[in-house]
Amino acid sequence: MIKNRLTVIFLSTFAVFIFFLTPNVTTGDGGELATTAYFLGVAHPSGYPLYLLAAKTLIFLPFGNIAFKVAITSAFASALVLTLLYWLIQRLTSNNWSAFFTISLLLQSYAFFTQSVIAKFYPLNLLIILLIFTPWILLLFFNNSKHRALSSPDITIERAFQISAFLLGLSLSNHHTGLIIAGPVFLASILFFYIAHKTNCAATCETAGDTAHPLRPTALRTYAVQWSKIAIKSFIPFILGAMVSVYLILRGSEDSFFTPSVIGDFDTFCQVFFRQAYGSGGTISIASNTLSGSNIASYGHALANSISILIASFSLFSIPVFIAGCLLLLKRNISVFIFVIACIFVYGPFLALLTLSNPDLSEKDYYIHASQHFLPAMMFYTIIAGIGFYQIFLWIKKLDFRIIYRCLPVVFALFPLFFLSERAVDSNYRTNHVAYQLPKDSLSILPVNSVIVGIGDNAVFQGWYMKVAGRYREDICQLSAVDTKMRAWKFHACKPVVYMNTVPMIFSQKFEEFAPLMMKGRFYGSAFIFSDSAYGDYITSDVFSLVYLYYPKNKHIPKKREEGYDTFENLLSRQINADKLIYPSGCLSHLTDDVFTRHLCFKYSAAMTKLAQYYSGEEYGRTGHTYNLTLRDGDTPDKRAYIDTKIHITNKNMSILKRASAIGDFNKWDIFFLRNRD
Amino acid sequence: MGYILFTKSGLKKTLGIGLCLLFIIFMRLLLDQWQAYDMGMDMLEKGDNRTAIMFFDRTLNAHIPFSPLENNARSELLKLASGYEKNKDYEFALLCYESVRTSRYLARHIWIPDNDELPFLNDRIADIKATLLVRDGMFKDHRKAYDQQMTILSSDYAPSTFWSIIVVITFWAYLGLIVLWIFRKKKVYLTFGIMSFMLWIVALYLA
Repeated sequence: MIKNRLTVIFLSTFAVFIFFLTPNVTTGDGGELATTAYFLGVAHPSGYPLYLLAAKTLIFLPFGNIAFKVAITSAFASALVLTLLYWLIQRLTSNNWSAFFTISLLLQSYAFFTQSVIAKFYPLNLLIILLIFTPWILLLFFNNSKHRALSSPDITIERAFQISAFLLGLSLSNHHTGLIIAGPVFLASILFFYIAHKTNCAATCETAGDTAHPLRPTALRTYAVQWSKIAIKSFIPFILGAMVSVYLILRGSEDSFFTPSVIGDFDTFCQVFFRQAYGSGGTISIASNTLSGSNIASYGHALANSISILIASFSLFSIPVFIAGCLLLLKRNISVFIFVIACIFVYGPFLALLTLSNPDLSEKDYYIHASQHFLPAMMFYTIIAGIGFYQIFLWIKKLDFRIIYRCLPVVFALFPLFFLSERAVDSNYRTNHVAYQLPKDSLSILPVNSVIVGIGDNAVFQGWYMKVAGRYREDICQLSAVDTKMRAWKFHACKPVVYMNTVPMIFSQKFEEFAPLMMKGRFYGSAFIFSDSAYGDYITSDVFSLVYLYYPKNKHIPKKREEGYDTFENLLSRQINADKLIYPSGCLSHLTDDVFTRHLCFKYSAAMTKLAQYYSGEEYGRTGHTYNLTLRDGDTPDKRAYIDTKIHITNKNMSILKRASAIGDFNKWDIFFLRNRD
Repeated sequence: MGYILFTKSGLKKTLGIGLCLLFIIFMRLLLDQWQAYDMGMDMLEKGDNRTAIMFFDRTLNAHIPFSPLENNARSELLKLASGYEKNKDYEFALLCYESVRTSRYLARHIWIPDNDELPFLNDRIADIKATLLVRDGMFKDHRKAYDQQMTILSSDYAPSTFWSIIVVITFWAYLGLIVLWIFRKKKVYLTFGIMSFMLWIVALYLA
């Protein structure tokens, strides 16, 4: 019966995620992960081989496109998480409605739902964490003197150690936050030994007086020896799990056709594996800096931020249920309580201390950290809430209201699903085609044999997907840069083996050699070049529909006229032609509050506003009204304006301006879910 | 727990669940295709070709093997492309041809769907690009420009399909066998697990 129920839960939750799943590439890392999985490359640090191999497996499905199949990995992992969670809570409470309440609470949460319908490694990370957590909670809950879980004969302390060690090793090849569970697992193993010996003692040492106390030195020594023996035996499974990271060395070589992270030697391996490429954001640096440099205020902010994320995700109604769960665990099994609270602590306030301890959270904080990193904390919170749900109905049962006891659990267990309607309008990735359409449109408008510099993750990653995986507009060479301050451009989507014949000058990396290409109107970028940019002394830029046309500053083109370059004279006609090729309506129909989607939509809005400027002359019939045209570069931290002027509204540009404003209004940042709730 | 998979009823159930998963994915894609194709035809009737191209592109991206909707969408895109080409509206023709070609590459799994069409698409794309290059004064000789584009379009640097399949099979075999070894403590699982790992390494190298 339970097996059938689990099957139904797995299939139905999978169906929900598949219905809302992104139809194509998503913003953020989506394009990179899809392309890298297809080419079996190494993604951005820490490389994520486990995720890429899982995604590569699904790429062999004969349905859909590569990005869609890669996103199925998230849906699959999340459906497994919910199924395992149901099984676990059902096991702990013997109550189906409590289990159902737990999974419906997690399912409706913004962060969990959103991560389940896009290409990201967090759901897989969550599954690994839950798989590590499960044997330990079962051991603590059902432990007896024989070190075996009463109701789960497959779980022994030795197996729990070994499977946890294997999964911890494996988590090294996914997201490193998976490793944090090692702390609570260590605690659980100590608790288990303590309780097991206490139980033993209660049975055998009653007559031995005080010396038989489970914490006496000889007993402690015995526990330590036993614990160490089992822990040492777990070292081999850990290594067997960690060996998956060998992938990085084998597939990160420079010879690979496509790999975002190149690994040539031990140093570069460490840079990728420990994320040292991110400097202070690296795995080791972030841990050591935080632990050594945190003050009381940052502890406070971390706690406040993690609480606010939990409240935003589950609403206030979940708090009494959570408290009831804590009370039941405190009463019945304090070791389980300590273990689960430790898990919430390490994935809540502790992780917030590492990644989210600012008093004022920025756009990036909300989007990158708040809605992704705290999934495990949310899951552990729902576990206690599920147990609390059971406690509440035990109280009601005591009151002897039979009808209420039978009806209310159904209503309350289903209640969180009501909030799924919110997900249909803020996480409905099925309606979001922007991350696919924008890079496609950006490439479509470029002349043949052009070069485009993708600047920032969104421009670069989605460009890779279109150009390298999709082979769209293969005549165009796409260079990559983290930001406009970066002097050396990278060649992931412009390999010499392909482009040496079309744009050989690019590989010299010397400005004077590719300046002639610019003069022919064949050099573009995804960001505006300000004078303090790396190439600010050489390049000036102008809006060209969705991208920016880069051309040399006058001092570098002394013979412009003599050489017959006429690029800039016909910019208007080219701009108008380009704008016929783009399709901005996707920015008016997506039901997601994805920050990067909004950011990309700004490019459509800006392109149209700039087009309106072209049509603001007297010949188009001015209406007498003006419009403040301010275009800002979203890729710079301070969002500097590169165009700030007034344009005349004319009969010709009025509809364009209205459309641009509509896109701007539809994609306003202030309705982002987590911020709104905060 | 893993050995459940290897009992007769366990295997049947696992296969049943797998088929259900495939059916769910299939239904989602069918819905996407049906909606996108319908919208595409609507837009085509209204004369909004740009929007129609976009919807047909979405139809192709929700790839289902042997789907009549997908075939129709591809035909419509190719018809539009040919019309644009005749009218010397090369940018739009290129958009249509490239959309069809890219959708095939993005739908690739063990093979590329409708790959028999790729030589035709490559030829049209290379020809249009060569025409544009000559028009823009980047090339004087159409043939040379065509050859240059054709070289890029015809080469494929994708990883080896055979070795990629071996990579994923040996990888999951390795993980599964190690889990079995942990739970059942039989050395045979560890031995086969290590063999899978070694084969995985070889396949990763050769893929």
